[in-house]
Amino acid sequence: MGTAWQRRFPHWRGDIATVLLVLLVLFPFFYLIQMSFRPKEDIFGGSITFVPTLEHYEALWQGNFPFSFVNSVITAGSATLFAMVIGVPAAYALSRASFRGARRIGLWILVTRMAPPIAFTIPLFIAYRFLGLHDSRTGLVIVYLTFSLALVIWMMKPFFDAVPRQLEEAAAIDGCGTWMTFLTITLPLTAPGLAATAVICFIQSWNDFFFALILTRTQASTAPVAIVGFIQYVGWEWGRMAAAGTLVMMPVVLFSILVRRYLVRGLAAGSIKG
Amino acid sequence: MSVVKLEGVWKRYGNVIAVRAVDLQLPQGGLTVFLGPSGCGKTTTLRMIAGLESVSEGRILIGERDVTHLDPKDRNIAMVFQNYALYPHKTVAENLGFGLKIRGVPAAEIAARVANASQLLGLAELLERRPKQLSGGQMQRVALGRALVRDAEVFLLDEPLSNLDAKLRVQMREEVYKLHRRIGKSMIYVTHDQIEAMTLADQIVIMRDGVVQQVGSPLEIFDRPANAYVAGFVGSPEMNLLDMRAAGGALAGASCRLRAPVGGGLLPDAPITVGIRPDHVVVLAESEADSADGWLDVEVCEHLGTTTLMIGGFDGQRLRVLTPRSMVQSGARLPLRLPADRLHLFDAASGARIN
Repeated sequence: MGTAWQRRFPHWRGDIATVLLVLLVLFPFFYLIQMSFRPKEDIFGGSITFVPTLEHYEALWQGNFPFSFVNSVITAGSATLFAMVIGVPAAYALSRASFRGARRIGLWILVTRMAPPIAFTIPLFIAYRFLGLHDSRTGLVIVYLTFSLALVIWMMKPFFDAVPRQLEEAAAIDGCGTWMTFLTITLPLTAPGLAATAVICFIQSWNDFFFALILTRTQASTAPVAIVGFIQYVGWEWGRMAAAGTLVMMPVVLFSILVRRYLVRGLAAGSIKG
Repeated sequence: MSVVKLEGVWKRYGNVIAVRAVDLQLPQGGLTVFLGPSGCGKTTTLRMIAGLESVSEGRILIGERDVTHLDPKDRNIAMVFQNYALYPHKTVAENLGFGLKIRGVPAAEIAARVANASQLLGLAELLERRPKQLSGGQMQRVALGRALVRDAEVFLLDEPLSNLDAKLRVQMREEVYKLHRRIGKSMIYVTHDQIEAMTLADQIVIMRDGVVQQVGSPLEIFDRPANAYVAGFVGSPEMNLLDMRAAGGALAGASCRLRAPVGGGLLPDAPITVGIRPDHVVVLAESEADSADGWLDVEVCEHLGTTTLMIGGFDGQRLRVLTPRSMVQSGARLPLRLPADRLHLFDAASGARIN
């Protein structure tokens, strides 16, 4: 009996350690989720058995939270879209660049991420007040875009570096121009990288709290900012915070699961004899 | 009529000159091989013809058209890459048909031509597979097929067999040969393998350091190498090259004298490189030793089955002698004759052929 069991789990010590570690890491998430379903009176109760309720979610739905959630979707989504549309060709250009100063340009792009974000807030705040971008989705998208661009360019460049030039030369011989080669050969081969980059980009904007707090007030406030709104003078609405936190977390979790599948696939394998 | 013509073509990378003043005419329907060691400029020349590399100076014509500054797609060429360069995200059928699809050929015709090419290359069973599910030989066939479906004017092959193992290489070499005969298209084939060059070529172009050394049919090049470099590069085992001096109408080594194949054309005492193929050296019987040009002290004896290759000292220099199978052992001392009509004389300084 023991042998069969051992054959099935030859590394059982490691397996148990892994499970324990995973539980430890995921504990805050589970705690948050169970909290969002707990009745208000029993919000910090330790009992495992409780009657789940949707009261916190209903309360969220009736309040301002859906509006903030939509703001989050729009700003993070647009920032990701624009960052990809602009950043991916830029990364490709830098990857294939043979012009002078190509490396330096790559470095300068990274500079936008070298200072702590707080260093940009006061100039941004003043400029946005002046430009009328304060408390607007457009303003938020622009800020997210500037930070996402560097990420996209630096994440995508190695993926393009890994696409063998011969494939593009073969496409050129087959009759493709530069754009056609890029769209039909190079881009499909970097699909896993595109997916991963897009999701990381989205998560970065989605999770932003700092800029949304400083640069928005009511019209463009995002979900993370809205959560803080539940900390009120009269008391902290733990149930709603937990429900909102769970909702904000969901897209991130879903996307991450999606990317995982893409990252595992090695599309570029087998094209060139190594 | 020439299908590809290069006029004074140069390629420079900064201060490095990769290809120097190449003038070439490649015959219509022929298979031309660019042969040379790595770094000799043969692949660069091919890539310039393909349009993958810019031309620093000079002109390239395909047919009657000046293509020097045209994009690869406008040159009507097809190319097989050394590492195949198959599109990994496309099936074999899509790989084969991609060039036609891009050029807007109707789907029905693409299907017909893909079917035709896959039949020709024995790929019919593999059309739905992806490149990573193929063996090296199959990938090579797909790469050939991708060039074949396109009705290109010139086919360019860049060391297409160098990634295959020895046995498969011989087999594919044969197939390339038959393929060329069957489709009758002009091909340019780059290789560093002289056996591939000798077996496939209608015309060989030998290059070294970016300079064309000799252009000719395989046997022309073998029989009359234009310089000492070509002499040493073509032929296996390679030609013996001995340092000697002109002395009257003869050639003098340290102790031996050879009758020269030229009359009085040699400057007295001029240093001369004397070439002779290992199988052209005559091993004399003991009884004929009086008429010997010199003696070979056999150091290494390679019994190859059909032939025996003896390597040893002759007149203080190294000499290879290829004879029919013999029982000679190392340490033997053999009388040799180097027939005058088999000698190739080269200027020792420039390497240029004299006789």
